Amino acid sequence: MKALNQNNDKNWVQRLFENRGAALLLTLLCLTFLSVIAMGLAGMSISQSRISLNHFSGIQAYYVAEAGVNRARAELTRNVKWIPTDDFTGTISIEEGTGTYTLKVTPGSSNNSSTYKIWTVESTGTLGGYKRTITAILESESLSRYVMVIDSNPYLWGKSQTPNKYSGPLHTNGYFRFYGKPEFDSPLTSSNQNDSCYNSSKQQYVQGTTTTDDPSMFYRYIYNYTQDQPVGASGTNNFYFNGGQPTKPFPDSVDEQKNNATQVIEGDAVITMLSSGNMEIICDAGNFVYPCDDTTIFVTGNAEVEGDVKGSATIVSKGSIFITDNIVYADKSTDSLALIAEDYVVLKTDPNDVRDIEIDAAISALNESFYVDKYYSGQARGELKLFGSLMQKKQGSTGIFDFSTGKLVRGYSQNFVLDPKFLARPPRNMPVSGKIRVKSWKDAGAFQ
Amino acid sequence: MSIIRKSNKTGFSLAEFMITLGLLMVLTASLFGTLTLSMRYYRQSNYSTDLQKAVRDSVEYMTDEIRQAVPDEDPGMLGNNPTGYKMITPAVSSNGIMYPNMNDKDTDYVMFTKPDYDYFDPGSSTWEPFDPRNYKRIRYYVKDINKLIREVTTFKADGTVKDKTSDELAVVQDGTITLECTMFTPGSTPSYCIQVTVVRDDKSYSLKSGCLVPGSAY
Repeated sequence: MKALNQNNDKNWVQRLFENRGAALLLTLLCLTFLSVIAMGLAGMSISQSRISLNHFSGIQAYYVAEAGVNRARAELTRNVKWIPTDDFTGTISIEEGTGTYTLKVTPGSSNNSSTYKIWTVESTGTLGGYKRTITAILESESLSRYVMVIDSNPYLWGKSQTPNKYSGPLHTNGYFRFYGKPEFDSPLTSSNQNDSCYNSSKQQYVQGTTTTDDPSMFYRYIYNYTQDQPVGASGTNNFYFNGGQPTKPFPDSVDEQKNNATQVIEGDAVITMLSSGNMEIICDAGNFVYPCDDTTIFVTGNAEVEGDVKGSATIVSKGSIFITDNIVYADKSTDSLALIAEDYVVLKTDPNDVRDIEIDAAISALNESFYVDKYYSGQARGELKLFGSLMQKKQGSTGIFDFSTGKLVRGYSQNFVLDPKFLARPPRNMPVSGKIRVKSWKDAGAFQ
Repeated sequence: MSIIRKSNKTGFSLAEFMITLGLLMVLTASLFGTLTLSMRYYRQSNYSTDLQKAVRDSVEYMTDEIRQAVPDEDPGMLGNNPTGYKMITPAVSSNGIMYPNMNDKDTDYVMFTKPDYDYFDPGSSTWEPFDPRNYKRIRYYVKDINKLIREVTTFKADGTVKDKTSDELAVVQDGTITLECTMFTPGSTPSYCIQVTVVRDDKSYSLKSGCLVPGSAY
């Protein structure tokens, strides 16, 4: 009691020098120190967690935006004139919630006057407050991307059977039939439509006693897989063959080309390409001259074409097109010519006129084939050089070969080379498959 | 009774002070030991996280940018040397990626072209696809064993180099970084595998990522 009284008697200075508060002070100091460390760690952890969440949400928003681009591709495949409204939004549900995308589609300046079209699609994906924008440039899939594209089941022979050469990718919607070991310097693909050996649901090929799921064997042989197979040409390393690939649908009419034509010529016409950069047209209605300046001439009958091309032009025939002599570009780097026939494209030269022929053009025979008139008669005429691309429904013949010697007997051997210009810019009004390709892809969240 | 006397009476004795000091020293030593150990683990873990982040970011930046690749369509037909895939011998498909390719399916760098949107405008009627100015050439490679470099080259209309810049995408101090790129052609669309590995001391981190180039399919 006395001590208590004594304590109560102490003033604040006395109490300050007391030693009884040391434990509390120490505890508080330790607690403060540990709290600071804990708070620091928690802060870093929260920060990392937020970074991780942002990253995750950014990726999700990217895929929502990609869904928007795919939506635009699907809509444009159905309707090339599709343009979304200003407030157009689409939604996509994923585990973490519902993402929305907004789309803006800008058609290319030539879309209304060409079968080949370009669109700029801007898709902004949003999910949980995060946004990501992809700007994709889409294009119609032009069939002039191939040195040869066929809608049936072509035969291709080896070098020891024929001297035919192809430089550039080949595709058939049917199946290839290889005899010997034909050589290629570019990819070959087939869709194996209506191929009784191909089971599309199982992705399997059954031929003879062999059942395979290897797409490089989805072709028909004459003897067996060892003797008959496509191979890469020597000095090249760009060849592969894959069957079971998507089809490249063929249009069967030239109606769209007619709608886009610069001039429609009624009846038959004889067209001479002039080195001056013009073309002269002789038809029932008279003689005309047009400049080769992205010009499309539509002939309701048959057309006969020859000459030197300067500039760019497209000649379309509701019937067939006959080529009577060389057709050569003045400048291979800039000039282009497309010859599009609803039926045949025919090289019509004298069976006994022995010389090489050069055709610089993108040739299309929508319902029939490209062939040499009377290829089965006369002499071995020489080599047919095609610098461009060939699209034909069925495989046409250009000559006859002695398979035992590999020599040309009649007509022309083929030396077809893809014009690389057509990869970047197909000729105006060249037939398209109806599918939409991505030409370029810009992700606002990536390096620019 | 004076204040001084009272204070002396209730203060520390030397023995008390020594015991307290000893206890405090033991406590502090053990606390610092634990803290030092924690800090070392924290630094190590932080460093590991940084290495992992460097790997993850590098792969992500590369794959994001590879998706933007387009073929350099300049075939050298305008009187200039080709600037893109056309310069590769033997020829390769124009799928946007120049290296790796069908000739070199495994490389320690990746090279491709992407649009330079100051020029690249296919929707315009005046667009010239064969102009080398349409494309930038991007190259990722490892320099001085520990730096991942992103190099950007732009071209003039005649195909000569206009500008070349390099940035360090990742640097591993006192360690190494490796880049491996592989091309696959499982179908008609080539695909690519990008792998980045960083090594420092006894730690090694590696990340692989596959990617496709939109629009590269035949």
